[in-house]
Amino acid sequence: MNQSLENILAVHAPRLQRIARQYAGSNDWQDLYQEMTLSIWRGLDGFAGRSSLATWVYRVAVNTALQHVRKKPLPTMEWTSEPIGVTGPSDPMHILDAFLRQLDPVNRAVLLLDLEGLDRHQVGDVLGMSAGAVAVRMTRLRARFSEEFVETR
Amino acid sequence: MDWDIMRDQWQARSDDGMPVVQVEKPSSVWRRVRWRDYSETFIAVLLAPMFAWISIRTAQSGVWVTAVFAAMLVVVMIYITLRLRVERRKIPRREPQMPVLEFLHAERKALIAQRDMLLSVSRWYSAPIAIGVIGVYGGISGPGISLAVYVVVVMLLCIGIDRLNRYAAHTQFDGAIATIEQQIAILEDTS
Repeated sequence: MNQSLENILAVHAPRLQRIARQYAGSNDWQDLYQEMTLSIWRGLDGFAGRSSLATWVYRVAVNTALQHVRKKPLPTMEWTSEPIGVTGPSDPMHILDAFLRQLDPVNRAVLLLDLEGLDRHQVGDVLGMSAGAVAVRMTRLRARFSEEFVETR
Repeated sequence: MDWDIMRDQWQARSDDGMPVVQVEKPSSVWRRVRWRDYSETFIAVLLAPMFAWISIRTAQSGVWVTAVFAAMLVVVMIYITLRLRVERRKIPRREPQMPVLEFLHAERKALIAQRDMLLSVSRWYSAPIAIGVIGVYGGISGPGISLAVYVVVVMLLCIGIDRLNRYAAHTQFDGAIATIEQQIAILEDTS
């Protein structure tokens, strides 16, 4: 497995940034992004290809993000990011941002991984849960989001 | 609301400017822990020959109490160095590329081990050193007011170190352990 940090970031940087924005304040999400890339760089030699590169990258990203929130919990009222491409309060992405923000960091990771396009087996690989448990969790989270979406709109 | 559309919109979001990757971030509790281990080992390695020398010299002069306590301090220094290494090896390996649940369990075990070590420092670190230095000093000074004052000062120092360690265990570790346990509970919740 001969992956360079540059190659990995060429593909995964936007994903890492979207995750970093959900776990850090507007002032320090870039710091969290740097921590993620540093962890990836440090761990590259240990990447043996037992999981897919994407799974491996997401594991590093989520573990680093959870460590980050343990060190620096987000104030509840703080906007975790300057929303990108959001047109107004009724914009679905705005509602999604608000919903993600109110989730605990672990459930936020479940939903973020789904939004990033991982299937339930891949989400299970990243989090260390069974695919069935992920599916149950996802159904519950999406249902909660749907309620919120309908109420807000 | 179509979730697939939400997903597409989510993935289409990206920043125009990418932050430049820089080196080395100031980190965490673990960097401080490692720094403290190294400094304690360094001090022990530095002091052990000195106490060995004191032990030999005082034995040659027939000051047996000091010689015995200085020898005890040499043993304590070696023990501390070895114990730090053994305890550190017991801490489970944690790599951020592990599955999140596994990583959280390992991190929890590591934090608990470090906290317990900090809480037990007075038993295997401060107390034996305190007894040793009091013995060394007492052997030279003999019984009297200066020895009593020395004992009080050393004891106060030990109590102070113990309090500081308990404070550090509480502020640096208890909160983090509770948060990790909460995160594990959420991930393991199958209800």
